[in-house]
Amino acid sequence: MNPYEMQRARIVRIYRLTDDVKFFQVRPYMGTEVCELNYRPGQFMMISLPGIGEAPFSISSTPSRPGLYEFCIRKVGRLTEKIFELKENAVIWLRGPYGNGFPVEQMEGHDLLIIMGGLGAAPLRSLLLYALDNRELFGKIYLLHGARTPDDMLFREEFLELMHRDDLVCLLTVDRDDTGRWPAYTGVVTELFRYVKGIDPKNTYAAVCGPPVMYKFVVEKLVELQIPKNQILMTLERRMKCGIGKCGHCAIEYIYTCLDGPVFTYWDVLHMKELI
Amino acid sequence: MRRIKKEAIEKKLKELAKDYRIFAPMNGDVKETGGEFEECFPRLSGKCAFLPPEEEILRYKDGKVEETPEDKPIILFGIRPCDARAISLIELAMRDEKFPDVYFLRKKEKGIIISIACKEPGDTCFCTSFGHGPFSTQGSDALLVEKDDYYLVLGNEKFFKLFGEGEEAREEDKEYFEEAKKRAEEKIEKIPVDNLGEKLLSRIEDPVWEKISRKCLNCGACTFLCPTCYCFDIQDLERSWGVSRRRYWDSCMFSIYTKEASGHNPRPTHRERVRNRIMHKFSYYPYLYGEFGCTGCGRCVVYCPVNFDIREVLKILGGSG
Repeated sequence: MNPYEMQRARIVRIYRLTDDVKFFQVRPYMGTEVCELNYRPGQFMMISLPGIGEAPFSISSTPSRPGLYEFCIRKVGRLTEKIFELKENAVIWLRGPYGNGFPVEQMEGHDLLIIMGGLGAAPLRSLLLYALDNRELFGKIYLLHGARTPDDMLFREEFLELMHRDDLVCLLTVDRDDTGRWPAYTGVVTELFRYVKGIDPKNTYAAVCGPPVMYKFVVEKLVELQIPKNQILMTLERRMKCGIGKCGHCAIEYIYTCLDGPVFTYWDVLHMKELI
Repeated sequence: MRRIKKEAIEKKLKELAKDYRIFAPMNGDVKETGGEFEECFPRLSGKCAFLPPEEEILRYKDGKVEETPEDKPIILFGIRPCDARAISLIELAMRDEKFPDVYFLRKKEKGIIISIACKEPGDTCFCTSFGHGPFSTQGSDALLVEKDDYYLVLGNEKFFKLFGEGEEAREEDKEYFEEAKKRAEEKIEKIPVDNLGEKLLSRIEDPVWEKISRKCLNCGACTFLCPTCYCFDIQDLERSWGVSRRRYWDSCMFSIYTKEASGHNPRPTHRERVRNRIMHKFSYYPYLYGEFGCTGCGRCVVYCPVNFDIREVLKILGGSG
């Protein structure tokens, strides 16, 4: 068995989320049946275009909605530029899923704080949708999402809809609103914590993903709330080549992000240099 | 122990070139040869045979993905015992239950590694520090010791089946072997490595790393010449028939090695990169696999353009320097 071998898949739909981020729905070639895709929220796949290259991407969809993988991709380099040129029905190649993903079984029965900034929405949308699809398994759910402007907010319309639901608290904020029509908060994501009420900290899991600078400030707030450090989960970015613990790129001390990550606890972060 | 005429082995090696790919030291580096070899301590190590600088890992042809077909099995001949050991150390990282690296492992499983004992170790050698030495057999299918026009051979069935059994070694051969071994081992500097992994870990934030790493150019020479370094990059190469996906040696000494798509770099300076290289070999590798990721071959000392001496670093951090 060649671990580097990828599977053929087809792009079913493409949506533009922001100026430089597109959303891709992808279906593996597996006959005509709706396929159960076996992955966990927080895992990632290697996507490749032969001749261009291969890179890791978070899965944005949830296994509770079978049939499709969804990816949220920012145009940042050679491969993503080519992916952006693709049209619906184009063929792309996948291998995975890889990584540990979120410990969703352990998280059951707990309150959830899901905190995302910028492209951090890509992996955390998977966890959010999973929790909403299995709503009875979780306690209170808070979503805190920050972006620079309304135009930069990933899944803006989808999340604005969630504000009307009464089984979660959806707190959205932008650093600045240049449209004058933004219906939610303005300010940085940490300011949203004042609206987080009535959670049981010892019985809460927080999941954080965003730019490195965000972690410091968000984690401070979470520690202030007295959420145990091993229940503060972070999903981290890392340069990767193979995805299977061989090429060395994503190694942090004695662990490989592609095998033992990308989801780590704040406790791990405190005990490992270079994790963020 | 057996004894086999040098001539017989040399002749056999050339014959085997028909059915095997022969890798051996030649003109100063380990490279593919027609069965010739040179008695030397090569600059490029034996890892070239099993983890080549460039290697196809996948083919994309007519809209389909194919595994790269297997080549002839490999005979790696005439390397030093430290290089043979190094390949067994790389194997620890390549062999895992979930994602075994088929390209390395299939070569390793069918390949044969024959080392020549190191009777005249260099002054940068420190292999005995790790409990092995110039006559070590770990990782070798056969260890040859030169004596006049014979090789004294400690080998396994795999070796004797191919090269013949020669004759039983004489009492004086065994004495010669022990004496040569002792003499070679005595020449080698031993660096204290007791609890080295733990010591390094306790000093991970020590300001000394700043001093140690200051002169490093981050050129990566040490990592490419290191017989146990195995990191690789993956790139696609367009061919007339399709796409060849290949892996190439890479180096953790380069800043781009860890640079993320967002621009963030978790190992932004020399300090973190040098620290990672040292810690990986002497702290993380023992933690993961129970062995140091270094054979003490001394190449990184010999070929470093700014005389970065890993032995000095180990002495400083291990508390003996």
